[in-house]
Amino acid sequence: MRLGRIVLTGLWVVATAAGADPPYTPGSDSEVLERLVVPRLPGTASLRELRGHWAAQPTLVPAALAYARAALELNRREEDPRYLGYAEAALAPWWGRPLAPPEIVLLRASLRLARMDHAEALQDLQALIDSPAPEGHAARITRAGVRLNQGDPVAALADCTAAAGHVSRLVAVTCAAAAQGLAGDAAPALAALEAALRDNEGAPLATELWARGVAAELAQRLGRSPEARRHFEDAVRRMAAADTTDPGLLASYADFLLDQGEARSVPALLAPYPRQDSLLLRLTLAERAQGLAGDAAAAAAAQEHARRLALRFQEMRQREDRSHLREQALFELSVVGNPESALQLMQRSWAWQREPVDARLYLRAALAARRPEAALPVLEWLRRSGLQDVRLQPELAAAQQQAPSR
Amino acid sequence: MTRLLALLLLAWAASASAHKASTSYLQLRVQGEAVSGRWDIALRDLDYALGLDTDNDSVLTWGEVRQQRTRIADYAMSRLTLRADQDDCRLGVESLQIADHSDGRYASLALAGACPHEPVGLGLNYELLFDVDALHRGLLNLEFRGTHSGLLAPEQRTLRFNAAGASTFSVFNQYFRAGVSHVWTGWDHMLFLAGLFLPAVLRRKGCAWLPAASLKVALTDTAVMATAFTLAHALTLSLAATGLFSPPTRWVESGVAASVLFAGLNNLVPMVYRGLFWLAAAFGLVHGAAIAGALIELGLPAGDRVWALLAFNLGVEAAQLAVLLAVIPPSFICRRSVYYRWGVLVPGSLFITVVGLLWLIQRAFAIDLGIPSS
Repeated sequence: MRLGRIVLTGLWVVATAAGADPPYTPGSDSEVLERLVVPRLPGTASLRELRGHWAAQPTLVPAALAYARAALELNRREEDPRYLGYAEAALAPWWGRPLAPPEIVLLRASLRLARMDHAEALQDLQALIDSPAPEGHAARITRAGVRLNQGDPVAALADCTAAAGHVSRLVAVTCAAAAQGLAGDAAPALAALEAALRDNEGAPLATELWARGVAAELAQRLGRSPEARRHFEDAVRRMAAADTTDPGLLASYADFLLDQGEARSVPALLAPYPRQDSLLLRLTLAERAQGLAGDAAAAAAAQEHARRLALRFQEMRQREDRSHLREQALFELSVVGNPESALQLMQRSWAWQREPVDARLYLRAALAARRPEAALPVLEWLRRSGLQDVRLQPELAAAQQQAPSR
Repeated sequence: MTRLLALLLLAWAASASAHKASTSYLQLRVQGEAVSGRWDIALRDLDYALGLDTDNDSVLTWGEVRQQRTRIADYAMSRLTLRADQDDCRLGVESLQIADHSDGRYASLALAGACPHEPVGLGLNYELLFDVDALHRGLLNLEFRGTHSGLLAPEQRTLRFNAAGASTFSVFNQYFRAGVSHVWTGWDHMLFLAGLFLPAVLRRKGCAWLPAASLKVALTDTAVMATAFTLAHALTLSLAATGLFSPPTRWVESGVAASVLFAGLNNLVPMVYRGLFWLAAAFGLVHGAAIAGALIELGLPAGDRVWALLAFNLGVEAAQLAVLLAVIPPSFICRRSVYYRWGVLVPGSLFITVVGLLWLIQRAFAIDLGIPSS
C-alpha cells in the first residue's frame, strides 16, 4: 500500500514536471528573464576569457588547468554543478588516461569525488601519493576528507599526519582535528584547532572558513552551543567582508539555528541564495517552522519552496545523480513528512557517506518510520568509531525506548 | 596554497552539495512521417554557449533572446539529429517562447518536421552542450508507438527506439516493408539483380546470342536465382544480425562491389553459364553480411527477433520477385529485337560493370570517387 502511494506520488510529480507550465511569450522586450551571475575571480581573468584560451588549444595543459581551476573555484562559491561540468569538459583529453600530468590528476580526482565516483577518485589519489610529485600532499589532504566522509577517522588521521609537514599549519591542524573529533577526542581537537585559528590571523579566507566550520561542528558535538555560534558568526562576518560565500558553511549554520529553535533568524541568512538547493531546503524548513508557529505568509512561502524542491529532486533522480540523497532524505523527512521514503534514501546514502549528520538523519528517519531495527548499521558504526555527539543523544535514547516495543 | 585549497575544500564539502546541474528537456512525438515536439534549454546554458547577453550587463532580457532567435535555433538544430531507419529526418524550430522551470527560465523551442518515410526504428543523436559541460544531460520524452523516456549523456549520445511493444503483426509489417525498401532503394542490390536478370531472356554463348525458349523457362530460371540469392542472404544476415558472426565491413562491402562487377562482366564476356543459381547463392552470402549492419542499426525488437528477420527476408524476396515479374515478360517479348541486345543488354551490362568496378576501387582502397552507394 505504502509503496503504491510512493509510486503514485512519483507519477504525479513526473506528470507535473513533463506537462508543467506551458511556454509563453513575454510581454515586452525589456522584461528581464535571467540574471547571469558569473562572479569575477579576484586577481584573475574572467571565466569567459579563460575559456577562450582553452577553446583555442584544448589539449594544452596550462590553458585547460587555468580554466578548470577557475570553474572549480566558482563552484566552491556558487555550489553550481555547471562549473564542475565545465571543468570536466576542460579535462576531457585526459579523462580516461591513467598517465596524465599530476596537476590534472588532482583536479580529476576532485571532480570524480563530486560525482561520487569514489573508487576511481581514490585510484587517482593513490597514484599521486605514490608519485614524487608535490601534488601528493594535496592528495593526502583530499583523501583524508574522503575517509572522514566514509566514516573512517583512523585512516583520515593517518593521511593528515603524513601531509602535516608539507601544508600550512592551519590546514594540517584542521584536518587532524576533524579526524580526531570523529574518533572520540573532540575536546582536545577543538582546543588545538582554536589555538591554530588564533595564531593564523593571516590565513587565506577559504582555509579560515573551512577551519571555522570544523570548529563549530566540534563545538556542537560537545554541546557547547555558544562556542559554535561564535565560530559561525565570525565566519559569516569574514565572508561578508570579503564579498564571497561558502554555501556548505551557511547550510551548517542554518542547521545550527534550526536546532536551537531560532528559525526566525534563518530567512535573513539564506534568502539571497534561492538557487542553491541545500540552502533553499533550510530556508523551507525555517519557513515551515514559522508557519507552524502561526505565520501564514511563511507557511505559504514554505509550500511554494517545497513544490520547487520536489521538482528539483525529481529532476536530479531522472538525471541519475547520486549526490543529493542525503538532502532529499532531509526533505522527505522534514518537509514532505514521508519517513519511509527518507529511510530508504538514507539506506542508499549510507553506502557512500557516513558523517555524524548522516547518522543523525538516518536515526531520525528510522524512528519516525517506527523501524528502529533498520538503524542497526548506524548504531554499530557509532559503537565502533567512538563518536561523541550530544546531538545524537535524544535519537539514541528514543531508539532504545522504541526497540523493545517492537 | 590557495589553488590547493580550492581543490581540497571541494572534496571535503562534496557531500554537502545538492544542486541541479544543466539539463535540457526534449519532448518528441513521431506519428507516421510527421515529427513535432518541444525542447526546453536553460537560458543560462544558451548564454554560456552562444553569448546571448549582447550588452554585457549580466541581465538577459526578452529582447536579447528574441533578436537572437535564429542563432539559438541554428545552434540547437545543429546538435540534434533524428533518423528514420538510415535516413535523416528534417527538423526545424517553429517558434521560440519562454518556459519557467524549477531552476530558472528556459528557451522553449517548438519543433516540427518530417521523416522521409514512416520509421521502423527511430534513432536520436544528441550533442547539445557536451563539449563545454560534461555534466549536462538531456531528458527525453518520446511518443513513438508508445511512450519512451531516455537519458542523454556524453557517454550515451545516441538512443534507438524500435518496434518493441508493437504487436507481432506490426513488427512483421514494419520489417517486411523495410526489406522491400532495402531492395528498391539499395543501388547495389538492384544493380546486382539487374546483372543476373538481363541475360535471362537472351544469353551469350560463345559468339552467339541465344534467346530463351519460353517465358516459363525465363521466369523459372530467374525466380530460382532470386530465391537462391535470398536464402543465402537470409543465412548470413541472420547470423550477423544476431551477433554470431561479424565480418569486417570493408571486405564485405568490397565483396558486394566485386559481385556487381562480376555480374555485369559475365553478361559481356560469359564466364559462367550453367548453375547460375550457385553463383547467385554465393553472392547472396556476401550481400546478407553487408546489410546486417543496416539491420543492426535499425534494431531488432527483443521479443520478436525471429519474426523481424523472417519478415525482412520475405520483404527482400517479394521485392525481387516483383521486379522480376515486371521486367522479364516485356524483355521476353523484345528478346529477338536487335534493340534489346544493343540498346538494353550490352549498355546495361556495361554500366553495371563500370559502376561495380568503381565501387570496388572506392571500397577496397577507401578512396572517395563520389559514387553513391545506396
